Amino acid sequence: MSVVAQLLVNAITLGLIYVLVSLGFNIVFGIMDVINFAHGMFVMWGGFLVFSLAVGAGLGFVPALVLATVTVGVGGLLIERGVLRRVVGRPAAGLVITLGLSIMMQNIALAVFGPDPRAVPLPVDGAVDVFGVVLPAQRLLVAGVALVALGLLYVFLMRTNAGRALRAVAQDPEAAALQGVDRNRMYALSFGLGTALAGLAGALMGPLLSVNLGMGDDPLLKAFVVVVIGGLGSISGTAAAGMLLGLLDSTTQYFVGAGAADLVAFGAMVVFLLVRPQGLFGSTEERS
Amino acid sequence: MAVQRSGRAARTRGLLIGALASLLLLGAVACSAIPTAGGGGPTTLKIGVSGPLTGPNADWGLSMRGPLEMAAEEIQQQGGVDVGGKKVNFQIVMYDDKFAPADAATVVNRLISQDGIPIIFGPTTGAAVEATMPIIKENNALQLHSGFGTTLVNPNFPGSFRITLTPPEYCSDWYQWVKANRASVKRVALMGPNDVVGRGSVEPCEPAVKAAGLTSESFYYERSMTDFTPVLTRVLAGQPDAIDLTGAAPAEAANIVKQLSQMGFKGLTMKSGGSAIAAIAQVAGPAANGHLYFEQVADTTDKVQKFYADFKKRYNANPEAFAPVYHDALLWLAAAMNKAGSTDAPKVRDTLEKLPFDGPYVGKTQWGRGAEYGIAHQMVGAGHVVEWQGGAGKVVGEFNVDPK
Repeated sequence: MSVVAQLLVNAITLGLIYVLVSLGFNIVFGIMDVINFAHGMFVMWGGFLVFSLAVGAGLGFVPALVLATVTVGVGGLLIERGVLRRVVGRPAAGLVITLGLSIMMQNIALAVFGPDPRAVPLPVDGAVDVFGVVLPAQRLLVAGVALVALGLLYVFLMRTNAGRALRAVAQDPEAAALQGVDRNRMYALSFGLGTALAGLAGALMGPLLSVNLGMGDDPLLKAFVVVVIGGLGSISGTAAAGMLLGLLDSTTQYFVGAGAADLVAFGAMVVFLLVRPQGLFGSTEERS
Repeated sequence: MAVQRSGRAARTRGLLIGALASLLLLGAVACSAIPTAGGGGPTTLKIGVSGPLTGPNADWGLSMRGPLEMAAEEIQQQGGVDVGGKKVNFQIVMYDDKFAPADAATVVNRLISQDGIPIIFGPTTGAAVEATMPIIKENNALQLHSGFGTTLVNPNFPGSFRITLTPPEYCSDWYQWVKANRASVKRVALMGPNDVVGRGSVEPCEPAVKAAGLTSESFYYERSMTDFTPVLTRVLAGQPDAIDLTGAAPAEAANIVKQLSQMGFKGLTMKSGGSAIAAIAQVAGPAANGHLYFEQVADTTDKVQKFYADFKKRYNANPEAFAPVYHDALLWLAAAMNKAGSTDAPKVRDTLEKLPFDGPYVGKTQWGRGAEYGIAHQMVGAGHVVEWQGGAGKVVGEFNVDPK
């Protein structure tokens, strides 16, 4: 029972991190048609910023988490305004530019923070006894914060005018523009939101793992898998696929071995591309 | 809920797959040159270095470049090396190999063919060393590397020497020490990345653990992994008394020690393959107390501490444990040039392989392990078992690696 519970907690925490990273990736992709190769670097910057604010500046973890998320989002917004807006609708150009951005962002982080990995302390430690099952308190806290963030994102997208406008641009930019939606503002908002989600994921990963220059690489690769399985541009599909991948990762590593986890993840991606290319919740008309 | 127009799904899906393929092939990005200071005497000889200077393993590259530059400056301050009656200083020329085999091969080719530098330090990861050894051989060049892997000291590649001790050379000594000094340890979990480095570290330790009368189980993970909790859940299910992160890179080892603590592991953690203690202590904090690690050069003496402090002051980063070895290896190379009376790579190689050395940090050392590898191009000397306690390391064991 203890092992099963441990596996479930692993799967949920891992899945929530995947969901946060992949949602940001998918929102940017869905609205701007930009495959953001630098997405993993926004994850890494979220980690380093939460470290700098929580440890360097002495703020508590929660204020540091909020500030780091906002800072990464604002940074993303500025990058969109300064660079990416010029290539919206030109996916190949966006791909090359974000690849360059990725290398630049990693090397700037190397120059600013140095090559050493960093640790971010959490306000909780130890384990929590839940119905006789001992679970790590830090993972429960991170899972809780991630769930709250996803809830807020859902409310934003579904219940606010800006969220509706974002979805409208995603579905039909011309029709949205005729209704008075400023597309450029929506592009900036989507990139800011997408990168803020990546920053939040990095800030949450920091205390659980460590903050280092390569911490965004694996989540970026997994985001590709999640987006294909969940469906391009599908928010609910991304959430479901992220949790599914977390479960697959966790159980495969336990029952088969760590080396098999990537095999299963990318194998699942290939199977989806062949059998259900529209993803879990994509519409069948996309096939045509 | 959807945030993408359905009409472009097929096109964008194709693009997404293309992008993923490109991401997986990212290692092909062009190398960036980092020329470094040095030289300045009557004759300046360029020494090449292939190592990572960007990305998550940049600290390893800095721990190659820094000590070589420091040693080159010391030589310059002493007026240079006497080579056949002429004074020679060294200039270190390093290119970023990104810790990747393809990039390392490009770097070594560039150093030899474009820059005309046939004496090269590095790479420092096994797969990259493996990719460069044929180039070294083809060009009759000389290579001093620090890659882990049982095939990286090889009679088919006589131009390549390994300057760091790796687990196959001292695993038996290490586990005999553990058996004698940590009585509670009966079951050991060996962990490493699923590549030439990890397998080259874990597999040689398996018989050594058995020979010491202990039992072991081996676990591998993928290099890209950041959250080790799932694989650690599997490791802990075997109820090990000790977990040896023998082939783990610093950031990996640090994450694992921290996550083991979060999961309530109370046993012994150790890293028989190299140190990584700076990263482990930084990330794991108090959980690193009691952690055992291997150091070729024990960092507990004043002399080594000063070297580390100088390095940190100059490069604003903690040096890896192998940094003093690179420092001494350049002095060793200089001694070989002095004795050979030449800087010609084949002549230096022939002299170097017969030349014992007494380095300021590594102490008495020589080339050995000919019986094991078929060629005596493995540096052998002292090794130390160090225990991390209360923010500092303490040498708790020492052994001399058998040169045969």
